[in-house]
Formats: sequence, C-alpha cells, structure tokens
Amino acid sequence: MTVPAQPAHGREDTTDSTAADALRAVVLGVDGVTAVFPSRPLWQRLPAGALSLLQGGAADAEDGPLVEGGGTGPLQVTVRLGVSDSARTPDVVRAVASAVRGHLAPAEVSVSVTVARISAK
Amino acid sequence: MSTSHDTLGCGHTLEELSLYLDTGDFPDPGHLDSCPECRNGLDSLRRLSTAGSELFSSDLADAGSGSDDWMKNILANLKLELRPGRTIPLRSEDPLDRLTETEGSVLALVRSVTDSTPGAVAGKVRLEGDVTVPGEAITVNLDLAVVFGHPLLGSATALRRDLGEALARHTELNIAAIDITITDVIDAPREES
Repeated sequence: MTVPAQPAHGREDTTDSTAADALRAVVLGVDGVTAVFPSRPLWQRLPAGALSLLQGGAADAEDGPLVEGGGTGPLQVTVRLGVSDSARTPDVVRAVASAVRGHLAPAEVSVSVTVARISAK
Repeated sequence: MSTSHDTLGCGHTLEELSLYLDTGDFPDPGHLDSCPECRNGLDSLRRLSTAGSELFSSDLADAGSGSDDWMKNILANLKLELRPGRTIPLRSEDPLDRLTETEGSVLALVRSVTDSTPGAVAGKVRLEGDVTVPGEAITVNLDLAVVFGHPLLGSATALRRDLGEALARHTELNIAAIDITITDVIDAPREES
C-alpha cells in the first residue's frame, strides 16, 4: 500500500496511518456521506492485508479508503461508503471523487467509489 | 467466492443478525459497524420485527421458525438480497474514475421505502434487466404483503410514486416500470369478544 506522504525517517508507519486517517476524514466530510466501510468486502481483504504487510505500510487498508499504486500509473483510490437517504447518491459519489482528487493533488488519481448502503444514518 | 444461500457475503448469517437483535450477542461485534450488508440486514429485521410484533404479538424468532408463511418468505428473500449483487454504474466527471453502487444497496432502499408504507411489508424485491449497462430499461418487481383492511389501490399508487422518487434520487437507472404484486394479505388477529 502506498500513501502519498513525506514521512520523516523512522516514522513511516505513523505517517502512513495519519495520511489514511486524513483521507478517510476527507470522505466523511462530504455532505451526505454517513459511513466509510472497509474498501473491500471481507472475503477480498486478506490479499490486500498481506500486500500491505509485505510493503511495510501500517495504514489499515481494512478501515477505510485503500490507496494503491505509484510507479508510472495513477494512484488507485478505492472507497466504499454509505450515503444518507436524504441526499442524492450520484451527487454525493461525484463529490467524494472530487474531494479525494483534491486532497491528493497534484498526484494523478483514479478514484473508485462504491455505495454499499443508503440509509437514514 | 461462493457462499451458501444461508450465508451472507461476509460469512455471517441472517440468523446471527436476528439473534443479535434478540440477545445482543454476536460473534464479532465490531464487524457490525464495518459491514454494510449486515447493517442493511439489521435495518430490515428491525422493521420486520416491529411489523411482526404489531400484528401478532410474537417475536421475530417465532415468525421465522415457520409459524407464518409470509414472514418466512420475506426472510428467505432477505437472505438473497443482503449481498452486494450486481454493480450499478454512476456517471463520472473524470474518465479515470469508476463510480458505482451495489445492487444490494438499491434493493435495501426499495425495501426501506416499502416498509415505511403503513400496512405494507416488502416481500421479494428484484431489479429485472441489465443494471450494469447505463440506460438499459429496468423493471422493479416488488412482492408486497399488506395488512387486511388497508386500501390496496391507494397504497400501491402511493408506494409506486415514493419508489419512483427514491430511485430517481439515488440511482441513475432507467426505470421503465415498477410492478407491484400483492402476494399476501395478512389478516391481523381480532380481539376476542
């Protein structure tokens, strides 16, 4: 897992976690978002968790948005969320994608957003 | 990943969710905060439990154990609907983005709107048509259980309107029709005189 942050030497884990928390807060801050779920369903999560361990990232891919990539391609950000039934789901989803892109600018970002729950809370 | 019909995509079951509502016990309590399917299931079970207790003064476990066919049918359909299902696309403003909603979230929305209609409980909910293709004509098929004595035509008309508004608000599906079939008329018990 790669989170675009510039950690101080010896503090990569903390900074990765902080960057992931910040991204999660950005998503939760979008009007109409009620929850941020693990970016992948449970049965898909083990490979991501193993990858995270192998790459030394401590940011928890199971708690919120997943950031992958680097290299030559764009960063891949995956978000799974809940939306308020009083909002307009398509608008909320587009606002989330825009907020994630703005948060990670100037990095080139590909955002994948999935709504898994539409509810009052 | 394949799962049995009794097991949700996350590995838990509707029975575990029902037991949680009755007793507060759950094998992995933290999971309930992080699993949208389980949370949708809990919402549905709470509404069903309310409807069941209002009608029969019996708890959900009794109803689900086989004494009430309409409740058994609803629970059986819930097991199928509490999965992510197909991926429904939403328009994106950036070609690099992929914006979607799960079929399960939309089915849960339909069920929620239906259950909020006085005297009605959603039975089977299906989206007919290829929801993965933008613009494809989609028909919502909804089986409904209604309480005897409620005006059926008025309820169906109001429900169709409410569902149309909710689906327009929360999806970009091309809803061609909303077909409502009343499959059960629930005869609420009368007071002994």
